[in-house]
Amino acid sequence: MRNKFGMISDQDKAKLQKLVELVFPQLPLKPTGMIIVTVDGFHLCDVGMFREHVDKTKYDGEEPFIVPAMASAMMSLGERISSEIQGAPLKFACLESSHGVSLLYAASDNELCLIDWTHNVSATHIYAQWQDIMKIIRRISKFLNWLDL
Amino acid sequence: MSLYKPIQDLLQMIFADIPHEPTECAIISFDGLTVATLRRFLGQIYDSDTDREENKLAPMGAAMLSLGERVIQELHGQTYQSGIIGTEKGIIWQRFLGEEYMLIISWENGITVDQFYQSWDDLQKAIEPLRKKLEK
Repeated sequence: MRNKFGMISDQDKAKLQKLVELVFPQLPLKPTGMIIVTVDGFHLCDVGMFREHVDKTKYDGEEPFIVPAMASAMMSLGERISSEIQGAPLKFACLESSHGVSLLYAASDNELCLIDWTHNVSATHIYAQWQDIMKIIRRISKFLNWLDL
Repeated sequence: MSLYKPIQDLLQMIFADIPHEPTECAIISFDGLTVATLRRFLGQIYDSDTDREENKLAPMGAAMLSLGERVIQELHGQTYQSGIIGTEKGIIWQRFLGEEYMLIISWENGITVDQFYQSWDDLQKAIEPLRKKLEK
């Protein structure tokens, strides 16, 4: 259930965290982390390197955890780009560095899923495993859409 | 003659070889300036830079480059190399050509990631002349 502002309850957030922990090991190419954030940049749940990052920020208090805000900014810009260039809604954005790949997917109308691969995983590795990655994202989408019912 | 005329000519030459008939293609400089653009409309290919109202690929590509770099720097501590944006209509692909230029291709014909991946080698082959010229 969501409240009148569309926010997920703490109970459902805990369920989402469990789901993310369950599906994360099933993702191909051993991702380093996965995080679910709201479209306006609020952190919902995470696993892998993002967990360590959140803990570090919580206890050190020095380095702000800016990944949710950045994911939200990237998605907003992606929306603008897809709308301006193709006049169509955005589905995902996939960014590649010399070190790995970050995949940002619109898991629902209100939430984004960011999965990160390092250890020299390339964008072509991700495209080759696309259907298996989508299977996992669809499970998360199904849960998030169920909250709307 | 424009400094970028040879690049525009080269883009014109390779455009037909890019798989899945892209709708639009652009090369932008690292600082976001339009170097070369082409658009396919009703089966014809024309230089979309002549119609600046229509040419949104280059400025949008420059915006994506800027934020992509910031995100990748934050997550991987590395430099941004390439990116794709998936839309309900198709794919927008962005890739560095050397240190100064970026290639952006937009397909609006419902191409899927699987189709994009299957034609990956053909795509690399098609852009090879651009890489040779600009990746110095």
